[in-house]
Amino acid sequence: MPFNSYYFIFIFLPITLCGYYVLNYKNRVVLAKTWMVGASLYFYSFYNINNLPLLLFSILFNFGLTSHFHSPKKIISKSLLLKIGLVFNLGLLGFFKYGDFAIWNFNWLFHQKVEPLAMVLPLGISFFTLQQIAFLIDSYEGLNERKSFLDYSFFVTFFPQLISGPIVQYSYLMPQLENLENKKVNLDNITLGIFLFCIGLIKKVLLSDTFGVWAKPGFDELVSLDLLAAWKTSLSYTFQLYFDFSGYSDMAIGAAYLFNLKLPQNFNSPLRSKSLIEFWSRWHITLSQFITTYVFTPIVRSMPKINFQTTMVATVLAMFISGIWHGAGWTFIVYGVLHGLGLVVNHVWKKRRKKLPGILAWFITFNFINVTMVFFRAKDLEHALKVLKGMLGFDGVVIPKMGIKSVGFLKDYGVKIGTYLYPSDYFMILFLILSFYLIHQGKNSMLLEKEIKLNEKIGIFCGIAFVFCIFGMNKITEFIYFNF
Amino acid sequence: MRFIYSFTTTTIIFFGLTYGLIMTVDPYNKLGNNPFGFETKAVDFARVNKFNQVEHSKKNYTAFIMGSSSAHRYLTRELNRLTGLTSYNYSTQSATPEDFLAMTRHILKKYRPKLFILSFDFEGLNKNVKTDDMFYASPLKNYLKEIPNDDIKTDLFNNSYLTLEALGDSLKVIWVNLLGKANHAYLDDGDHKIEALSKTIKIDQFSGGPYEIDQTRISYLKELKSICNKHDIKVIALTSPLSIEHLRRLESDPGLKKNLQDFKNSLLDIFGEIWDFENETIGPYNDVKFFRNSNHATHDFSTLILERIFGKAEGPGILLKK
Repeated sequence: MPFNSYYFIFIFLPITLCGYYVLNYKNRVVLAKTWMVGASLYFYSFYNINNLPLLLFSILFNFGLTSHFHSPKKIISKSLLLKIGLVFNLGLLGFFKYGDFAIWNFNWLFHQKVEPLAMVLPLGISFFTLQQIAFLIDSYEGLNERKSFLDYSFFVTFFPQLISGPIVQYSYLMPQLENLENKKVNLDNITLGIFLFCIGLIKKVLLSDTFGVWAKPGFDELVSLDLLAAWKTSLSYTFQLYFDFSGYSDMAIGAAYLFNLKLPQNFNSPLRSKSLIEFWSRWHITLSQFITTYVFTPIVRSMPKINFQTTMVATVLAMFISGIWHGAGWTFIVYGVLHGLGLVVNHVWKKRRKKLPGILAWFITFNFINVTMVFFRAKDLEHALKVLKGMLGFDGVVIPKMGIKSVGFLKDYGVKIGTYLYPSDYFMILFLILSFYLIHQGKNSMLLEKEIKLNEKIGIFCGIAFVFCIFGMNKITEFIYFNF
Repeated sequence: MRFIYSFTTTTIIFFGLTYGLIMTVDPYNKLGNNPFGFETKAVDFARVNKFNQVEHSKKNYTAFIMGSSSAHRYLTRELNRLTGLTSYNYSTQSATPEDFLAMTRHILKKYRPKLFILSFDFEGLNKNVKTDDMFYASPLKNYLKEIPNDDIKTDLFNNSYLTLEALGDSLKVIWVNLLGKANHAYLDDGDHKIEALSKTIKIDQFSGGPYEIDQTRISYLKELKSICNKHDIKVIALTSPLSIEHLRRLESDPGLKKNLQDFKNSLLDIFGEIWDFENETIGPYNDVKFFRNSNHATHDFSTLILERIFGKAEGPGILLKK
């Protein structure tokens, strides 16, 4: 069930929370964990119960495999076990996520007509697979001690992070669970949890969903876009995605705080970055860390020689993998490769120790992100090119009618005068200004978590914002990252 | 603890006040409340507003007028008088056949209409005139497909008053009725408010750009006609009146003149007959009493057109038959 639903907020979360603390209060620690695993599996099944066996199978297989790492009698070598584990996890992901994409490309390349599998992507498969791959590799490296099946299941299924992260390592989460202090109700954490959850809800319901309404027609419905419409579309989507995913992460972190568990931060004001290198240290931080640790570093190590050039090749490859991890489609590949190449340019520039003025550096970085997001959002390359063509003005320039006669000469240059602005247009301009302000000046939840003093005034603010969100939640829109 | 206390009490009190406000204002007339005696509750831009009115009205409408802003000023009471039906004016700004088809499906979800009056703008069939963005921002867009698109799911708290839209509409109702600041205010039954006459008939929205009949829109209209046939709904199609100056300027361009004829022929092919108000019979009505600007008729002229169609008056317009 989505975090932004009445059912989650008013029924599931309070019941799960009460059950967890009551059982811990009665010293039924194992039962409390079991309760949480059960609740998380129910949370997962709420979307589609048919996906549950796959999740359970994946948990069982990975747990069984990693248990062998700690077994004194080793029938199979550790490295072979690791390979089996990797093949299993990547195979599962590949089959469900990339099966049809591979068939489609095969048909296109060899003029065949192989029937697609028409598989529905199991929810959260990209996230719970990555999390388990990390666990597998860490166990192979001897970084994880032997754990019980219940603990492992808790780690994988913990509902705040099950579907869209943040991707968390076992060694980060589980020691917190074992801490006896964390089994008691902690009002400070509940306060922080409610606050972060509200911040996330505001981002999702009031900002992201609003931008989503402006982004959708340009990408999905309109045949062509004039210059302003195309920029409106792309900027709306960039902000939609940012507020959607960072809002989701805030809600996940907030929900976890209610259980006295701290999840890692996933966003650190990425849209104020002044370089692409900085952007990737601020955007989807836990994925970047995973890619760096488990993809980029092994690629670099596998190179015959480690120098600047080979590191850059590894960067492009890692970003390619990051791109395709997001989805099975050429648009995601283009997105990943563009970011890989962008990072290379950024590294070369950095190496030459040339500095751009801050505002220019931000402007270039932001626009690069904004343009590449078009590929991230568009359903195929054709739709992406439609938006990009519009952004470059190839499909005309239409300015709103403003009643100013002096702009009439623009018609001579092919500029068309459209209709007067609608109130919704003013509303959108206001939202864009607000969003630019927020990404530059607003404190992100990472800072708020550390610095803000949660007093009555903040409580009143959150209460009012929460009521607006209650009214906005009647239209439940899915989180964008649920599709990945 | 102070945070939790203030958060909880604020949430309860603010929720109660907000929901209470919506229920009291009753923006969609669901509850029949009007304690403040508001003159109009239809204050949003037409698509959203009229969608909500049609969705929630307790009246059993049997006739609908559809068109762009040029059809705003057909008064439902006049149509009711002429036909004996209960009518609703579903006209919206910049409406094109996408709107008409979506509106038809939306209407049929709840009503069993007997008559549709469709007013077609010359530019409405032009492929180079894009669908209004507001169409895609309105719930009507979900009805363009045969099975309404469910990208917006309604939760178990299914209540159109527990929405931000209802809150926004309530505030607008208060704003418009107490302060009179609305750009567009619609009355009950989708009627447009009566305005003062213009001083001159300005040429408005004259597009001399390239014109091409949009085949997608033609297919929407064919689908609409087929739905109407299936549900036994009489369709009266008409071309939206243009002032004589506008028409002559348009016909002075041989290309546009041909386009205008193609436009009418396309409509004739689909509907078999159309009332044409884009011809010289409009000449004697070149007065601010009849036109607000070159492509928006006044309430009086709109009434005259209705009377002409239903044979109660002589006047402008020609009935074209295939």
